[in-house]
Amino acid sequence: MNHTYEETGCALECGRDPQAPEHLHDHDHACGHNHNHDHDGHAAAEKLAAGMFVLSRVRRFNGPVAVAALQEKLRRLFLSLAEKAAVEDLIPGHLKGAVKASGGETLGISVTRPDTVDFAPSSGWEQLTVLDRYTLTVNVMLLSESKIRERDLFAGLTQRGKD
Amino acid sequence: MKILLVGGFLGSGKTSLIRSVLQGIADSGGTAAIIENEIGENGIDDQLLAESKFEITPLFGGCVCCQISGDLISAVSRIRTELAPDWLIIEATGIAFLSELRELLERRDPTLPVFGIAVVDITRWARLYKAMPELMRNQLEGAEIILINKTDVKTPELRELDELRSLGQAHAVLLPCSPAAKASGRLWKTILSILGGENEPHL
Repeated sequence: MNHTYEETGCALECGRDPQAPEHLHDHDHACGHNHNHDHDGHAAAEKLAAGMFVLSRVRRFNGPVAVAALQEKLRRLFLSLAEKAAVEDLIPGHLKGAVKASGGETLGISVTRPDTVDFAPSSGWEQLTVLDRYTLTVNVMLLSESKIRERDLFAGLTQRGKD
Repeated sequence: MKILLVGGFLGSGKTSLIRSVLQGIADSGGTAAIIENEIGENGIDDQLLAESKFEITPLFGGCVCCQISGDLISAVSRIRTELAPDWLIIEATGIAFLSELRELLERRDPTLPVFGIAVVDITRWARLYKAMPELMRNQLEGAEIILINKTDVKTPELRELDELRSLGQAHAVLLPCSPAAKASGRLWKTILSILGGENEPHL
């Protein structure tokens, strides 16, 4: 449905105005939004976002845990997630994670292919051998339905004590 | 302040590109700030970019392309006023339409230079384009540079290069990229020279 900035009277500093009759959907009318186009111009992007499978969790773990052993467990965990996420051998999205050690060192984890886990350590991470505690953030973002469930995100990682 | 907008599909390599860019900016004595947009409620990329020491503004839980565009505009204004960095790098989500983001920014402030880089994961390009042609096409529009990533895993086929060239803007430059190029420090200088200047784009 077409309408113009002038018709809605929306000020540049406006917030949401879901009551305006021209707005047939919940829409962010913040600064700079151009009303002078067919609102369906956003429909594709919004539909895409609405149809995504997104699972995002963060969990803290106590150690001590050997970095090498943890990295291997993470590799197996993310390969397991990839197997659930893949559609005909293609991952239609991204599985990613970040481990953060107590000193701020980080290990990035990325899976875009079903058989490969990519790690991206910070320079400080590579000096570590043992973690006393760490947080793990896992984000699953897929453009298709998935068999991944929350219980899968931290499978194989123990909360306390030695891994 | 100039804006570098980085778009591309989920997992295409946007964050690793930005890490390389930030290193290049730091090495040349420049300043930068980053806006990180992620769909998930818990940020990951901001953690991985924290090593750069540049300020990071996280925008999580929605896409600034449509859902939280106001948050983006507010963040850009604040950074410009309070920090005034040489470069503001905006990492879009993996489903954002680069051209729409660019339009939003340029409409809000036509005096602010905006440059776009679209990152393409060449290992998945063909299958993703077949499955989602509209999204993949829209992610290329609005980019001066189409960065072809993961060339260490797969060499781009001529057919794929022709496809990318035809879908991108007429003046867009295709830039193959490998991890070695990112690590070497040459990448930022190459990007700058493409964007229009020896050391800095002409603005």
